Amino acid sequence: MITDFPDAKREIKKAVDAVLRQKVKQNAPMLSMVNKKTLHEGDKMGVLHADGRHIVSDLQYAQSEFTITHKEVPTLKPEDLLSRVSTAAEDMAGQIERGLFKTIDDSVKESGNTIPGNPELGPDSILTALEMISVDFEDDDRTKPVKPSIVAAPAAVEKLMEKEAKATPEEKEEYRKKEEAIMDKKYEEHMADLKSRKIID
Amino acid sequence: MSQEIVKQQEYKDPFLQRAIEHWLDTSNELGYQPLFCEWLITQGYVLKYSIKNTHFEQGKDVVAVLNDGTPCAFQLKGGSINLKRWRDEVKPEIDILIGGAIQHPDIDKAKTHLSYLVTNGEIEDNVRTEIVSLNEKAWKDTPLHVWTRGDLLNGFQNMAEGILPKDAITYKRLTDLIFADGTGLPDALKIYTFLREILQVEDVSIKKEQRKRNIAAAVLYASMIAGPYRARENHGSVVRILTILLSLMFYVVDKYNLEDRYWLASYEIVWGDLIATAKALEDEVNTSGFDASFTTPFDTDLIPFRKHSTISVVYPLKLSQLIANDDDWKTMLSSDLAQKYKGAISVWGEASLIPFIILCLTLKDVKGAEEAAIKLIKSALSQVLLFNGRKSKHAVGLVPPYYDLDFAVKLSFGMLEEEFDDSYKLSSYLMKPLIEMLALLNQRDYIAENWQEISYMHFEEFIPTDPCDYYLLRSEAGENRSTLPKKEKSWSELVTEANEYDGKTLPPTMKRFPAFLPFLISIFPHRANSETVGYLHKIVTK
Repeated sequence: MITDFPDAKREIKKAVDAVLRQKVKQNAPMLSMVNKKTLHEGDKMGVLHADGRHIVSDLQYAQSEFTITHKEVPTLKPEDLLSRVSTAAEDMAGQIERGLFKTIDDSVKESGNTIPGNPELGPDSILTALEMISVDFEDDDRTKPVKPSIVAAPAAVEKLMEKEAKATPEEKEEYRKKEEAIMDKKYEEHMADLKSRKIID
Repeated sequence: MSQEIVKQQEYKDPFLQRAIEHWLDTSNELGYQPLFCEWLITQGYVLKYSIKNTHFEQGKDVVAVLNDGTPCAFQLKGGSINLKRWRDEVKPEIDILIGGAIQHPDIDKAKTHLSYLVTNGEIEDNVRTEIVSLNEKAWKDTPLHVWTRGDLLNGFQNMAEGILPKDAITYKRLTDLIFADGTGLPDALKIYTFLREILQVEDVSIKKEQRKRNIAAAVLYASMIAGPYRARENHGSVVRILTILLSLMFYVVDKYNLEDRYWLASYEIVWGDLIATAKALEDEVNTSGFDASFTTPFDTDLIPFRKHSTISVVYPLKLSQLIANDDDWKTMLSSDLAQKYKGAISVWGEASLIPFIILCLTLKDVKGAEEAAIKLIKSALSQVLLFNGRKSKHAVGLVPPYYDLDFAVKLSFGMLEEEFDDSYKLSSYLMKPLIEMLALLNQRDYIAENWQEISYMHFEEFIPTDPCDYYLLRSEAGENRSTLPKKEKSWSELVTEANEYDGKTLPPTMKRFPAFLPFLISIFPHRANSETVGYLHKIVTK
């Protein structure tokens, strides 16, 4: 054989893997927002809820592929390789995000925690959503609410931005007051929840 | 996996021959003694005892009985024996070997035993001549038999009985292992993978007799792998290797329902070796303390990790002795020793909390030490809350027990080969067994004070589908379970739940040989869960 450079190849592969991971993260915003934990063994994931429900599911795989022909190898440029890796990463990210949204969607529907009438994304629907969820407060401090992130289609986000840009100072102040009132309520709920966590009997 | 092992009875692998030769030449008598015992078993002897390094050996390191009931006593030596050594050191011991009766309840003292001098070196001509002369005169009725390097080499090489690594990758793995530096931590994954192949763990078609031969071969290979560490008196690493070997042996025993005759004698040899080696580490610390080992400025940052590697052997040894009703466990109660081990526990990941659990289980019923024992578990729990709890500002948190010492050192020194961006906030593998221990120790007030924060945590655990998989480094089938605790928890419910973990889901050998369990959860910390910790609690509770 012609002398190879396996160590150099290994390093290149590591760099390509790093790009793949980074691209997946970039293309899967929801995924990049959640804590990542590695599972080291097993073939199932289970959640044993406080109410005794035990939900077990198989692990979901995300996979993609790209092809480089033998003929292409001698002339393949790094940017070509990265471009194909990026395409594969987008594909995998799509699979992961779709899986994630489906899981959230199923849980939300199951718990009935949806806003009736499917309203357009806007200040009112955001406030309604805020009313419906629990909010955490960093260090249990009222001034440090951990506000949820909004994930929406680009068009919906664009519309929301337009609405915000068009809003008058009075409308903005009214929104702020409503949000603060909700946060006051949420803080009360948070503290009540905190108090409810105890050992009894 | 099975395709990677080739059985060729007649074929002598030159590489393996050289490798065994290298190992034998670099071992002392303590190093080859366990394998010698294993070889005797493969030859049909029934092993009666094997003593290491004591004053009670009466010239007999190993005693075994032949098929026809003839007792045999062996004096083991390392290296060549010249006339001076023969006269000064060896002959006086041989006189006792031949002249003193074997002290063993199963052996009739009146029955003449065969005496053997065994060495992994050579016997010089003038010594050989003197032995021949003595055999013709003073020892006429009970002549001394001599086995030297060539005999041992041949015996050990035959133990592999064609159970050889087949492909280049497996050979390379073996080469890397047997020529390791010997001063560091052994590569657990490589050792585990190699021994799995030798034991043909996944091959369901193997007959039990072949399993027995595989076990003998695994003992041989593990001895070779441990060789560089023994040479450096790196006892902690030898214990790690033997724990991996025993774990895989038990897996095979439970998985394939092997009767005792196929494996028990091998287990006893390996277990005896493991305990003796752990004791050697304990003796080293007891004699010289930790500081004698820290000699360079580069040690400073590594001291917590080096101490952990020591206590992860010595503490399991003590608990193991307690379980086995061996009073030696009480050595840890001396105030001098307590001083030596002061500050030996440090926290770098959930795996580092295992010594807290083991020490607590050992001390919890010791009069005057109960509070200290409970405090250990409280400390462990508070560390989890501090690093992984709701209020933690730590980016990663305490990493799960899947990440062992080697990972922690690499993470601390920026030596990881791959990016690590996991986060374990609000998640813990050890919190559930820790809470259950505190429940069993009746620490309601402490749990109540902390429940607010505890209740936000997700209790993680792995439940293997097949209980045998507790012995595997990684199991393919099983549930990664997250338990979400109740916000409002009944104390009596918590105590009832804690009491339910009594080992019923553990594999049979784990309950038959519970003294091994402390070593297992120390070397495979991810196997510490409600079931294993709860079972340990049950068996040490009087």
